[in-house]
This record gives sequence, structure tokens and C-alpha cells, in this order.
Amino acid sequence: MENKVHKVMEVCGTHTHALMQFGLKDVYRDKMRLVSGPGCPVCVTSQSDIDRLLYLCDQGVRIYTFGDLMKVPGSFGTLREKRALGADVREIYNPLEIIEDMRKQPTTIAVFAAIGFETTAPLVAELIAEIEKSGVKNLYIYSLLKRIPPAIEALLSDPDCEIDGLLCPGHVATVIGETPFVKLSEKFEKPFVIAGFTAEQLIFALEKMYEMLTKGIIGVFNAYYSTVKKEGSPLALKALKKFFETSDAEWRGLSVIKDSGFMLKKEYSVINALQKYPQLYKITSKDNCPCGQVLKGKLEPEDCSYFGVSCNPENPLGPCMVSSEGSCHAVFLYRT
Amino acid sequence: MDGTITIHHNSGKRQTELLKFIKEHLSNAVISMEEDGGVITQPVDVVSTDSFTIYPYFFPGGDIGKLAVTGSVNDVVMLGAEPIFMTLSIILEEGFPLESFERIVSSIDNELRNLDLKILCGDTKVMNRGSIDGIVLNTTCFGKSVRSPLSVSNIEPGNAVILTGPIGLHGAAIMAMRKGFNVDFKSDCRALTSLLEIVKRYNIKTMRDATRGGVAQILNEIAVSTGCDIVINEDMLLIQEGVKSVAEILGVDPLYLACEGTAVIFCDEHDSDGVMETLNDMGFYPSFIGYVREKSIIPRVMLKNRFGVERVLPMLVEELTPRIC
Repeated sequence: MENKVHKVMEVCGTHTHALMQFGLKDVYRDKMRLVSGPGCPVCVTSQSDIDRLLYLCDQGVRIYTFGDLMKVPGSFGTLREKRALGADVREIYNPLEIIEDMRKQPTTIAVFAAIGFETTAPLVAELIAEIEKSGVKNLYIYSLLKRIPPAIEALLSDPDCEIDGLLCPGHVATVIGETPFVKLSEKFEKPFVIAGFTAEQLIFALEKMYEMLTKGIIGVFNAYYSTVKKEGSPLALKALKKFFETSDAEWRGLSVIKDSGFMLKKEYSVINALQKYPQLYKITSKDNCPCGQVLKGKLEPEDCSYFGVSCNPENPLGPCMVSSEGSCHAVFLYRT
Repeated sequence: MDGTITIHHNSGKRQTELLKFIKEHLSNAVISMEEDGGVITQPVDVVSTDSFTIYPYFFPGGDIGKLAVTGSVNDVVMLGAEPIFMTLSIILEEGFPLESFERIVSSIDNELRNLDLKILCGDTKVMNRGSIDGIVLNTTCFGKSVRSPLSVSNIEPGNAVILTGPIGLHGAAIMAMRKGFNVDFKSDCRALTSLLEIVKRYNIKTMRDATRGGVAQILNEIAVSTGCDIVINEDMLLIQEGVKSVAEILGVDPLYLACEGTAVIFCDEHDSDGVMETLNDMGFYPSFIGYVREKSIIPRVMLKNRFGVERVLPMLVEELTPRIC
């Protein structure tokens, strides 16, 4: 029993990146096999959603989005390629930047492709509040926002799941607190550790994880207690509750997961891109790359037949190689 | 002149006005802007040209004008040559505010005076609104070597790698400004002509200013050129706290952030102490970051961290993008 190498999943792209950067995957190789989970918002964006954004480009709609999404391939190219061909696609860092643009150009119609998890969702909530306040009428929200706990539940419910413990995303936990993870830990009887992002914080979290695994301890240990409070961030949670309700959402490679999305509440349907462009519902496409297997922790990036050959950061086939938080990208970047 | 640049500044009376305006602001530095070209009266043996586009045009620690002068000057200095002349080509977008243009030209003049450097010839063009992003400057600098020109081909296994100062200041300052962060540091944009002193004194193999792509890009280019691995000790890299914070928030690695006043120096390992001491005396904050390892089939830059783990420091594939969460 002592010699067992435990399989631990980090459910956060930034953790994946940091673990590789600090070489900690190697350091813990004999004790724990650290595999990457679906914790990167870019990586879990489905091909259908990219195709919908490409469709909007073709309709002359301006698209605002975060950087890495520009590079994710849809069925017929990427948003970046569309931009090179003349589409109005704009990269933003802070969603609030958009308001001023739209105010200056009242005849332009724009859609903000809001991707992200619980960490980013409050920012989008702030944008919605600002749209209301400012009276801007030409900006619509296409919410691709996702919730992490239902995705963890879906992964752990898989009968083939071999994951022994979970390294929980510190940033998400800052917003939602410890409670959702406690419920999951108890349901699946596995140890969960909420981890920070510095080398020291990660080592602390990994040591705790190993101790819990070897002693058979079930529950949630908050190793990021300096930032993560038990109740999370009441302010952020209040904003989420005001503007969003949960909905089923499509995750790349994981298909549709119940209640895993943040959908705009009915009161805000006037700015919902899906209401404005109902044709988007009709666009569906299939993810062809094996990113889904990587996201489930069932396929190591280096074991993917495309890895480093036809799929590399210059020519990514799938989002796990696109995103700076993607597991394939991290493995490619930090290979020794 | 009116308050903005117009397409009419491309010819006729308005062009004459524009040239007069520039000459007034570059009064002490212009050798000839009357003729179509300048006459080189001194021997030169090194030349470097570069075009500059940056947004915002004004940033803490500099502006596009200062950057255009120091950028080309540093390229010449990195070859071990003293800058002698410079050419200046200015491309403006219609509608560019004259006040901003005046600040930029004055900044160019100020930098030229500091360096005692003169403009040999120049050119201006105005393009239609939307054709370019405000202003583009092109500078070409001519220099005279203080010894045989430095070159990557001089590098051998065992050579020391020294950084002249902290990294990522320029890139982090620009990113911080673009994102609206208040930071207490500024770009390191400056001329590195004083480094010629160490070129005269020591067996310097080559020098590179770590501009676009930062230190990681420069080291990778040199590894590929020499066919040798380069090993860098992560703990020896100087990174200011503010730069670390900006990089942390945006999810980018400071090693890839541009520097505009920090160079990577490759020297004979026996000279490393002397180089470090001289740089210290000159007011730099040098650090001995690593060395050139043996020839390799796939030359790579290896970054050794505090846990003793060595990892590849890859070449930047494309522009840095901030992470989402």
C-alpha cells in the first residue's frame, strides 16, 4: 500500500502551469502522478461555441473576447484568422473596457464572448451591471461561463475514474469558498486540498495531499487559507446570484454537464446574445481532437498521437495546446 | 501649424511647414534635412536599422521618440561600436495630435543631445487615417567599432552569461499601462553606450539588449546560433517586485517581457569578475546568471530552479496573452 503511486488531479490550469514550471510533477513522481483536469476555460470551450462565434463574425457582429480564445480552432478556422480576413474581433483584458467603445459607436453591434469560471463570472456580472447603468444598447453577452463543482462531480462519477485525490482551484475557491468542495469530497470519499500558486504553497498542498492519501483521510484541507475563506466571497457570490442562474453547459470533450453553466437570468434576456441571435442554437459541431481525454485525466498529453507532431503551440489542433493554461501547452513548454 | 496632422502635410506648403516644425525641434541635431541625403564624413563600420511602433506612445520612463533613438543606438552598441550618426524616418497618421508629435520630436532631440548624436538625413510621410496606428518611426544608426565587431560566432562553451540589470521592466510597464494598473516602476528605456567601456577592457564575446521577447528570446536565439546549450540559474535573475506582480496578475513570465535598457553579455569566464565589478562601478545592477554549456544536437536554454530541477526555457511562439483567471 505504501508504494502506491496515487493519481491526483489538479483542477486548475494555473496549477498545471505552476506545477510544470517549478518541476514539481517530477519531484513527486514516485508518490503521486499529477494529472491535469478541466480547469482551463479556453480548453473546455466546445467547438460548437467557437463555430457560433465565427458565425456571428460572418453576420458582421463585432466580437469581444479574452486573448487565448482567439486561437482556438473551430470547424472553419479561428477568430484570429477571421480577424485577419476583415472580421471585427477584439481582444480585451477587462470586460469593462468594452462599455466606452460601445458608447462611442452606438450603431455597432457587439457580442462579448464571456468565457471563464467562477473567477471570471463576477467580472462579467459587473459588466452587465454597467450595461444597465450606462444605457448601452448595442452590446450582448454570450455567456460561456462555467461552474467547476459540477464538472468535478461529472469526472468523479465516471465509473472508470482513477483519480485518488483532487487539488482544488485556489482562485475558484476564493469566490465559492470551501463548502461546495466539502460536499464533493464526502460524496466521493476522496481527499481534496485547496491550493495556492507559489512553489511553497503548492508543496504545502501536495505534502498535505500525500498525507491524506496515505492515512486515508477524507475531507477538504484548505492549504490556501490566507486567501480562501470558508464562505468564499459574499460580494462576488451576491453578484453572481443577481445576474445568473445555473444551466446545463457543453464542455469540450466532456459533453453536456448538468447545471455546470452560468446563464443570464430572464430579466436580462434583452442583452442575451442567444435571444438576439436564436440561430446560434442550430449550430452544433463535433470536437475532433482528443483534448477531452486529456481533460478527464485519461490521456497524458505526451501520449496523444498528435502531441508535438501535428499539434504544437504554433499549430494547435485543440484548445489544450492553445491556452497558456492548457495541460498540453504546459507539457510542451516545460518538457525537459 | 494647426493642431493635427493632415494628409496635406505630405506635399506643398504644408509639408514645408511640417519639415520646418521638425527642424526647429531638432535644431541642434540635424546635419542636413535640406537635401535628399546626407554625406558621411567619418569612417563607419557598423549600421543597424529598426522601426518603432508602440502603444501607448508615452509611457513611464520614456516615449516612442526616446525608444526610437535608444533602440537603434543600442543595436549598434551591442555590436561593440560607438554611435556616430542616425537617420530618422517619420510616418504619421492623419489626425495625429500636433501636441503629441511635438513631445515626441522634442524627446528625440533630448536623447540625441544626451548622446551627442546627430541626424544625418530624414524623411516624413503622412498616411490616411486608419492606415497606421498613429505614428511609426524608423531610425538607422551608424557606428564605429571600438574593437573588432562583437559576434555570436565568438561564443564558446564555458563562457559566462551576465545580465546588466533587472529584467522585464519595459514590457511590464507597457502592459500595466495598457491594463490601467498603477505601478511604481517605469520602463528601463535608455541608451547603453556606457557598455562600450567593458568592451574596451574585457574579452566580451557578444552582447544583446533583451528587447522584444525578453531575455528568454535572446538566449534562445544565441543557443540556436552557437549550437550550444545555455544554462541559466533562475535564482540569479533580478526581477523587481512590481514587475513580478504585474507578471503574476497577467499570467506572463517576466523572462519574456521586453527590456529596453538591460543587456545580456557573454564573456570569457576569466573576465566575469572584472565585468561584474566594472558594471557595478558604472551604476548597473549586474548578475552572473549562467554559462554556455557544450554543443548540442538540439541547442536549448535550460533554466535551473531552486529545487535543482532543470527545465527548458523555450522560445516564445507568439505574442504574450494574459491568462483569463
